Amino acid sequence: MYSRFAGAVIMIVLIASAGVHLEKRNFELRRSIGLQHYRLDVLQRRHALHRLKVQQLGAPARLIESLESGDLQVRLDLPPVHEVVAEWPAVKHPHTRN
Amino acid sequence: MNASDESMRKRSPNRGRILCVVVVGVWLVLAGRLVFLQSVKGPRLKRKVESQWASHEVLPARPGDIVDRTGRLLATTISVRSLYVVPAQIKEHWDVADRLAGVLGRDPKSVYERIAAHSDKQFLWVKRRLTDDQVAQIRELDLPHDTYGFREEFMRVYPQGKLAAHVLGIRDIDGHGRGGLEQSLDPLLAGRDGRRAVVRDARGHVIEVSRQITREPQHGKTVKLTIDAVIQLHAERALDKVMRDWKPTSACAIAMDPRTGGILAMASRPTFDPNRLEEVPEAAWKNHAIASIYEPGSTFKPFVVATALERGLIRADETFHCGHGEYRMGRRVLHDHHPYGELSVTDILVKSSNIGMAKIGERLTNQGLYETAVDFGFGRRTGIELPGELKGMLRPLQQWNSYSTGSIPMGQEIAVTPLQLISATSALASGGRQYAPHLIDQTTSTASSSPAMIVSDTIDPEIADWIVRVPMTEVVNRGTGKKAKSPDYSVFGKTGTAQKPDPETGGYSSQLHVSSFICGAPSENPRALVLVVVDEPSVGKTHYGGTIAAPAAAEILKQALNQLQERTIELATEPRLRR
Repeated sequence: MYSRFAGAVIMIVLIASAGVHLEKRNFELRRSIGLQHYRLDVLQRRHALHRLKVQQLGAPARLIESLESGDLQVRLDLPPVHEVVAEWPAVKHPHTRN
Repeated sequence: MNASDESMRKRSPNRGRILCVVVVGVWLVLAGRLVFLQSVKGPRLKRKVESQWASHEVLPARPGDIVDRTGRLLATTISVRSLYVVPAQIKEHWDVADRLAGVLGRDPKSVYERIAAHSDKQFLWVKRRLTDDQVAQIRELDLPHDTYGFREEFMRVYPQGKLAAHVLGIRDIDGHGRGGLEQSLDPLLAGRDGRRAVVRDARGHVIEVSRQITREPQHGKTVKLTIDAVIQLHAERALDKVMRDWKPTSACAIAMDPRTGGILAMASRPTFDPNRLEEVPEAAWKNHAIASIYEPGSTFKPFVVATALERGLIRADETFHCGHGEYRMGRRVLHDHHPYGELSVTDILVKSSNIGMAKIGERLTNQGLYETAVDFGFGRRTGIELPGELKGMLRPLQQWNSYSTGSIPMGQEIAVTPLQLISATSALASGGRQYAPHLIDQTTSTASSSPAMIVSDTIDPEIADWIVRVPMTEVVNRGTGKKAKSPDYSVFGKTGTAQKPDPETGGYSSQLHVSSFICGAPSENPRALVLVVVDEPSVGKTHYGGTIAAPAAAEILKQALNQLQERTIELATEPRLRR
């Protein structure tokens, strides 16, 4: 009688512990995803700013006088630049393994 | 046992029954109320509860970029932070105002007055679009957290500065497109804001952001233009020089690819920097390339000659006697700048003889002249993707008279926009086929709503080719457009010097002119067309189109051809090694 009762209590405690663990893990993952989204936003913001800066620095209006005065030279012999496509990091929890 | 106990015993079964009835009754009422609240009022109460703890947060859509034909950014969007305060939470108004004003570089009194005037409000902008340094300095002030905050906002930036300002337009502080493509393509560029639910506590603080976005933001699309930033820059520089040298009231330049109708450059003066809207003078908003009309003068003559040739009313090898500078048409006596005798059709255009043109006009009659104007697209909008385009002025044929027969062939009594004129000339330059002028690159743009290219066969191809290769090329080789001549390629063109109406007398003024020049190259297979129009030049006594507008047009044409040629080559720049 007592052993059955103890077994039931232990079972309930184990199930509850597993539930708590799963809930905790769920929160960790959600936090992690939230952080990744935040990082993505920051990176996209920086990307937009850098792109803007590059365009401002390379604006024809800024370069034309240097080109006309000869301070800058036009080179035609460079090989074409292949665009490197960087992939966004996948959302990954620090404890997960590939 | 006394009598009272006996009576109590008799009453107790009744009491118990009454108690039971009361308890059951109360339970039934409560149960009924519960059912009522749950099933009848339930959905409404649920919505009320949700509205108390959940609210929706707007996820702003990022406006799309505008790039030129080579991918250079002409307009882009960055996110910046804006500062707001919660006046209702501020206890020391002056202290907060003084500290914020110090960082923002503003008068503490004005900041204080603004906060004090809205002291019961929960939200008040203090300054929008802060720099990162300002944001950091405000954080260092260590103000109470519930009294202020930052909001991310999108800010439109134009990396090329003044370049193509009239084509692009602006996007105001609230993100609405005003003028130019920013206005006409606003639905495409602006995108559509998204929404996300957030959970708030009793004090209104966000405690959870829902992962489920109720509506995804649809960011604005990127629009690729036919404009070339380098050609545009040369057009802007050429106009700046014209403004310096001739001090006109306004000027504009358009460069166009006649084979597609794509606009390579469109510049107008006076202009503005879309990044500095607080410094824009009132006169600078107008895009003279599409929103100003003027009498085209001699630049209209090739269209009349082309139509007369096509209808067989004149022959290319025919000559006309130009009356040695005087020709009477009814009560009117026409004059040429120089007295000419017998002139061929080519020479009538080369020397820009008004009398020769009037004689061709007589063969065409008013009906033919009117049809010429309509066929080449005058009197109606070209349909370019810009707001505010005028349709010019072409009076109904019924209002024409015998004067019109002499005036229309020399480009009077009709008013056109510069865009209409270059579009009409493109019909001659592209073998009789006229493409609708457009700014959006229809082959590669992600803009799904870009209009279909409209093509019309305006004039016979052989006649169009002849007009371009012979009379218009001779105009540049030995006529009024000599200043556009190039040793590298054959240029064709036509000058225009139109008198403006005198506001005092009502007649034509001898002082006020519109000087214009339209040219293209190479004559054998035109790849670029350029038009420069200068309104009321004020320096010097003679304001011929060949003197004022031709050098600027020739410079733009030269740079446009260079750029179109070089586009196929990969270019890179590097600093020259200094010795």
